[in-house]
Amino acid sequence: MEPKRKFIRFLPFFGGLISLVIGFIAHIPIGSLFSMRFHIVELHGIFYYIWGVVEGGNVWFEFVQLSLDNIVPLLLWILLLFSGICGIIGASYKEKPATIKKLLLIGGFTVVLELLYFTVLIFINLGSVALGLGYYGLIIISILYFLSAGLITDYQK
Amino acid sequence: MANKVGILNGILLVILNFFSVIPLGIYFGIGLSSYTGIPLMFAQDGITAVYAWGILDIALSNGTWWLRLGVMGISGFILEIVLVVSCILSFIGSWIEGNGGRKMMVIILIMEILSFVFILLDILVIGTLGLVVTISELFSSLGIGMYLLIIIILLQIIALKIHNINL
Repeated sequence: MEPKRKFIRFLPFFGGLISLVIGFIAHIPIGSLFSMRFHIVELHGIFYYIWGVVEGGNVWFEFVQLSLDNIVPLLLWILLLFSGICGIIGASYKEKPATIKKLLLIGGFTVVLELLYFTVLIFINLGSVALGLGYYGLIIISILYFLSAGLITDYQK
Repeated sequence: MANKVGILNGILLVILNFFSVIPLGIYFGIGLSSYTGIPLMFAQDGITAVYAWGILDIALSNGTWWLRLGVMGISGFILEIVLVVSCILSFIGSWIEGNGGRKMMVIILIMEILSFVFILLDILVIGTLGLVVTISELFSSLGIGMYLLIIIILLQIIALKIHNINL
């Protein structure tokens, strides 16, 4: 018997949502004293986000001009956005399970690639840094994607 | 089922048509602000930035989208009309299956390619968009909006190929 279909699959949807939050949002205030910062790492008060570097309210890096310096960060941001879209599309019950599985695996591997890139950068350049919510978010996204890809079953079979 | 690539294309066209920048590093200060963003200009020469919706004076950060319509009349606004129509058709065409939707997708693709060629020619020769550059300056003056338009055209080709015509 075909199980009762829900509106969306929650695991890939939350994965997609988290990747979009990391890709677009700097910090969300919780109360008046604390705020959730979605940076990848922090070093001496400098916050390294996926979209740029912020120190004391000033942005070091921007995508204003397309130059060779900006290509890699822009590519990383596009990959994160792509994995977010994969997750949100993969949350739909109307798609074929095999297609969704492929999408989620591609999205998951994309995030793992980014994680590897940041991990290597941390070890090579920065040494002792404070990992931010963005880094942990990337780990959570990859787990959610691979978990949901493993859980998808073909109802037709 | 709706053509998802077509819908994504429509969303990108909405962003290109009505936004000056994709905000990045959004934070909740006094209202909603952002640290930086991806500017969606077609081209810029350091003083003037050309968008689908008009011209922005970079030095003054003064939006003057009305200038094209006010000074040049409807001829200065044809690009925006074509892009907005292709955006609306993109959403409609994605939902219509069969040959009707496919024809609509072909029309959108033609409109997008024509827009791209028009912008390129206008920036190089004509200047009705508000900016003229030489061929040697072209690649340094092209903005992310132009590259986004190329991505939109490529996505439209993919949307056309995967469009469901078997009813």
